Amino acid sequence: MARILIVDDSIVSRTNLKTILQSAQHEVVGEGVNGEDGLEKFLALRPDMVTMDITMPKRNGIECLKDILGHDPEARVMMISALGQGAKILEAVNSGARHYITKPYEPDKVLEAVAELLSE
Amino acid sequence: METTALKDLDLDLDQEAYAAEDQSIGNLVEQTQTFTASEPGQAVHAFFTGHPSAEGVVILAKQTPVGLIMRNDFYQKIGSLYGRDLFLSRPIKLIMNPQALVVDVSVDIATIGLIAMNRPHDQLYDLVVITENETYAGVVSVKRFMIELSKNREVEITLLKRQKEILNEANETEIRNRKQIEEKSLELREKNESIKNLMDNAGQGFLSFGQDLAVSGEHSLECVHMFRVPMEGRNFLELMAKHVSPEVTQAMARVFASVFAAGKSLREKVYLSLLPPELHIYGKTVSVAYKIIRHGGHKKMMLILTDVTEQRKLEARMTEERNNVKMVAKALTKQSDLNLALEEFERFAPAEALAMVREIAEPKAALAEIFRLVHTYKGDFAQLGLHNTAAKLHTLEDGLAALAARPIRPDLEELLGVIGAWDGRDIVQEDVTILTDILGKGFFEKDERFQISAEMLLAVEAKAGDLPDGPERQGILSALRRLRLCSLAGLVAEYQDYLQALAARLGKSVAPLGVSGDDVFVEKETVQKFVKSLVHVIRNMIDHGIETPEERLESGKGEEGRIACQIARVDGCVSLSMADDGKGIDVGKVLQLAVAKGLVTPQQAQDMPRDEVYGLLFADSFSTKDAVSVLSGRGVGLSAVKAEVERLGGSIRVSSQPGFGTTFTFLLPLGA
Repeated sequence: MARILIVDDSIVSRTNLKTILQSAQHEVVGEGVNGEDGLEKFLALRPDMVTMDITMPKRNGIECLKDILGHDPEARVMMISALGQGAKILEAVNSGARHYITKPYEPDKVLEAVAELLSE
Repeated sequence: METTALKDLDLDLDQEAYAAEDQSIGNLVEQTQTFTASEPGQAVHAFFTGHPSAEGVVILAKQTPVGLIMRNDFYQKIGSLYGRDLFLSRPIKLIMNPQALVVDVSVDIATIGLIAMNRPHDQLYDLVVITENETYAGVVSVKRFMIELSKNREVEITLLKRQKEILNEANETEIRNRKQIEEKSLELREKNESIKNLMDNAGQGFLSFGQDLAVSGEHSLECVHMFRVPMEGRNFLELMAKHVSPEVTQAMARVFASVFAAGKSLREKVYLSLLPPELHIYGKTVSVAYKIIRHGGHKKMMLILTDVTEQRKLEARMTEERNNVKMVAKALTKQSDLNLALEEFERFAPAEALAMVREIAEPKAALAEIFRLVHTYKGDFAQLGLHNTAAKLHTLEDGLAALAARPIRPDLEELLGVIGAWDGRDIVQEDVTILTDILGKGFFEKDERFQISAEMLLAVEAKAGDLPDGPERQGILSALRRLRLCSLAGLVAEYQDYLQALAARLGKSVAPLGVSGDDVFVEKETVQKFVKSLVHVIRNMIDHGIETPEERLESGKGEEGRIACQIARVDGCVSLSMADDGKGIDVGKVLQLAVAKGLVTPQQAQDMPRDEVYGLLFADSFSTKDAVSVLSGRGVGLSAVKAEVERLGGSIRVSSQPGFGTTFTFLLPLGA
């Protein structure tokens, strides 16, 4: 199963997401706590895919996405957004994010999106 | 050709009549009285009384129609029991039909006719309300509409009569022309049938457009019903602009552009999911499904529109219920997370937020930081199931976003003002109330509970013991002692994790420890050592009793072994039994080992009763496992349990059935 990096500034969200991903035998190889940390962890860990919150301190999720793609244009990043961030998601997708899910999410939806992304 | 021949017969009069049929509804529009929704039923009653021929009246908000009252409906409602009292003095909003048929004057007669005739039975003859540029323009009476249609029919009949005369005169063409008439009526019949088909399929709107976003001609009638204007060739986004915010229109424009440019199907799917799944069109909730159709090398977007207004109202109520149930379930499983989040948030709004703004001092940076934190809280609360709180935080977030997007940025004073108006307690109140209604007040009274160490309690007890003897002292002492009591079942249940870990290490599969029976409260100090010694029983059961999953399956048992604890009060004593469903105690093996260890002689072993054999298990340095394992068989095992039970003055009974399991019962004189 996939090696996944979670980037999110909320520990509640990270823990929750981690539990969901691990339930499907994915390996959460690291957790980034902001956009800056996200890039560092990505470069150090080279995960199969990244889940990326949008609203974060230091560098936000879209900036972090662009940073990551700058280093690896093939990186598979899935955005995690709150409801009503349609414009942000569109920006992210146009910047190269492969997929997205909306908070609050059901575990099934997350795993479905991850599977879709990985099989692309 | 026959058709040409028919055309040749047309008269000027006929041409006019046919032309009229194609015209818009404009010349059929009549005026009727209008009211506002807040006027009393009395006003409508007065109007209807004064104008006996008026069929109905229109309700306007500013210049936009919001409802219709038909004379018949009005008096039917007034005539009902209490209707007079209910409706005459109260606003007509209560009595009007808010879903009246409203169309723009530019829609052609035939389309309006079809939509009008497709209405529910009881609304078939209701006035059709006509607007022009969103403004009320008048009504069309269905009666008048029918007369107009039949006039056309008369013209048609005159035409046919005239044709017949000519046919009669022109003998040589008679037969041919009669055939023509037959064909013409067949054509009409077919036309009627296809119209009927359309009507039968109404209820869902279909429309499609290509990259130019111009709505194609093959859209269904329901679309016109929903949008109230002719659609063909119109730019879809221009049509939408009236019903959604400029931001949404813009976002849709960008998504459509991206969809038409996208290559991969996941990408298309992602883009489509960004389009609004529901639209609000003239007060109706319309659900939209977006599909991409490939036509040769071209892509087309198809939209399927369904009016789900009533459904959504019902669902909203059910969703509310379901969300509340979810919230309660989450609250129960994540109580500490929830309490933490609530405490943190109440500190944040507004005290900490204000402090933060003052500290950052630069308004733009402060606003960004506060926005981020509100957003994070929103996500956390949503994840914890507090849906109303999340919705309220979303509104706060919107307010902050608007503030940040304003041309004139707020200064520090204004920002402090906005944040100072927040009340964290008030924001979470609705959800907290729902939770306390269901879970009881105690759920959030965490801050009124506190932990006391056993030491402190004993110290207080010692002080109370120094009081002069009397009923008062006895009362205080027993009250203090009760504070120290804890549930025996609770103490045993603490073995849960141990049991699972041990089973895993031994490659056995064991279900969670089941503890059941009476609620027995005991002094922890008294039973602690005994309860601790039960670890040996559990260890023995998992190591020696429960078989491996393969063995269990072979002997027809469930893969998962079971260990259960049953607690009961028996004549002033407490009976605690631990039972497993494993392979039972192998008497022969126990005896063999006992002989080998010199605990009994071979002669004694010969006819030793089962009960006595079981007693050997509790002897010092006894193990039935061939090899001493890391976990059991160190010789202390069950003898430690025996020692504890004896210390309490209790007794042990063992029963075992080969192949079905073993039960250890401990009878303890705990006068609980």
